[in-house]
Amino acid sequence: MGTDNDLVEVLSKDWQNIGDKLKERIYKHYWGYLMGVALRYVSDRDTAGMVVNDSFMKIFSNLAAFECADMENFNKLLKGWMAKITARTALNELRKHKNGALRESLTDEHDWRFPVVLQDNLHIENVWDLINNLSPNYRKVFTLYEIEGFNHDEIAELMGISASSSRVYLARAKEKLKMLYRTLMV
Amino acid sequence: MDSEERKLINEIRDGLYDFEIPYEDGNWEKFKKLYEERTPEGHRTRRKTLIIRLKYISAAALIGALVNMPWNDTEKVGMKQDRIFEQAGADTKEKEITLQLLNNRDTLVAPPSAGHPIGLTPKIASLTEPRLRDHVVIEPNASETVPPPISSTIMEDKATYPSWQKEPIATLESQGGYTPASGRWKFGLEVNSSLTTNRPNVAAGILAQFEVAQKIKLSTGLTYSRISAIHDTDPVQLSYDTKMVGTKSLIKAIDIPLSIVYEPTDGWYASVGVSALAVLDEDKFYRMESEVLQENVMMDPESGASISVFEVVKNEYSERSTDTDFEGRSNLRYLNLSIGRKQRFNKNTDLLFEPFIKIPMGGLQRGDVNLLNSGIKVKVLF
Repeated sequence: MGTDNDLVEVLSKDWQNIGDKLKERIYKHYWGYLMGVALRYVSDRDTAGMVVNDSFMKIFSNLAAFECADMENFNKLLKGWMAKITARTALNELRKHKNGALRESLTDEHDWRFPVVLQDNLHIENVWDLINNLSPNYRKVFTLYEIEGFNHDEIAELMGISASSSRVYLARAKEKLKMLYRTLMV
Repeated sequence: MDSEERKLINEIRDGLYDFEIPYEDGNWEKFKKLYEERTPEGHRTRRKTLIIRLKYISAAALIGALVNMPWNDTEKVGMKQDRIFEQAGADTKEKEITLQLLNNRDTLVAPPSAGHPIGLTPKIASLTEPRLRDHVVIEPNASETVPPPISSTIMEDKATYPSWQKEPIATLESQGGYTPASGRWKFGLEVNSSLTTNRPNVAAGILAQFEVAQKIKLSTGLTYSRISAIHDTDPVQLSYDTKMVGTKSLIKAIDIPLSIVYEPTDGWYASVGVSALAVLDEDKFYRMESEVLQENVMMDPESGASISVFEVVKNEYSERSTDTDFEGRSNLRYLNLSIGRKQRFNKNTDLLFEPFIKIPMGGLQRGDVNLLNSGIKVKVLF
């Protein structure tokens, strides 16, 4: 969409000098994406909304921390940076409620009224089905490693587990996903 | 890693990367409030906003002070006399009275009499003021002529000055109602609320009114307005589940009106005029509507089996547009029509209630956004 390109162009040119008006546009533009990221870790929308707001506070307070060497992929890199902040914030939120319901796996209570059709065979609902069928720790390790791009040491620190446990969780998550995928695609 | 695993991970990654939830209105406002409360940067922004507001209040106060300054000589002299009265009241016995005759108001000339030396013509200034009745200025120049008075007569109390002959010089109440140009200006503040189709708008500003004739006045001012307008179009299908149903514009503008006010009877008036609109900022949004087939699983009460019930769920949301309709355009005008009721609030202040209609002209008369609006103005004139 033209609006997206305009915004990304403006941001890529003058990222360090973002005014209030542009902050509003950034917030509204990336809110939905970061909600998606937050919902990978927390199960209810209210908590996800809170995580997203906390993430935007960190983002706006640390704009200088984002440096983009590859301007061609500015939007992709920016989204990745924001997603990492959101993932960290979500995990911190989970840690605060260690014994609460936030550790429960994602269930059907998500309101997927806005399906996005993927280019390949998997529909977004199928993606979520796959992810949701993983146990919470497998899911977290898988998304942190494969989607957000954290390494095992970082994941170990974020989740309070050892790096070797993280590797094991990831391997098992992938095995489970392959099994589920075969079942789903039959 | 085998190719199947790689493909699966890529598909999941792409799916999650593209997954977004449509923005829900109101979230930015909530976030902004939190941001201002929690971060130093937000504090700075809020302080900046506060300073801007204080500037506006100061400007309004300054205008108010200017409005309350005496614009004609009568009031000025009155103020000076008041100061003199205070001085006279403070040290009447100890000091020689040096009260100056400031003007011709409230002045009587007492001719020489037995109680006063020949050649000395006393002038009694402002005898209406009881504190000054014991003190008159005796001026040695008997030949000095007193300029003709132009104000109201003062009826001197005979008991107070038994030996003096009271001679009112004139009994002029008014000189044909003439008011100097500076006295024909009035200034004030204005707030108004209006509706554009079904959207409420607010505006506030300052105004000035010049009395051309007894019943005709010219009015101008400067008003900051926030105008919102929606526009329904034929739905445009953008994708299989999303269509655009119209647009919505939010405009922040400065409105500079010029109107002729006709006041046939005291208290009621009608006005007609035009105004130029300078658009400071415009936000335009596309109004989208999505329809999604939603599956609800229900339990059959008889058999206990699960049944899937499908329903179409409609969702409306807005998406910001990069183009604008009015920002930066200079040929934006309104035709303004109104009637009003003026209520005297106190000696110097009038309160005005004015229903109005603003009809778009020129560049505002666009087909796709209807900016016709009507409402009520509340004005205070000093």
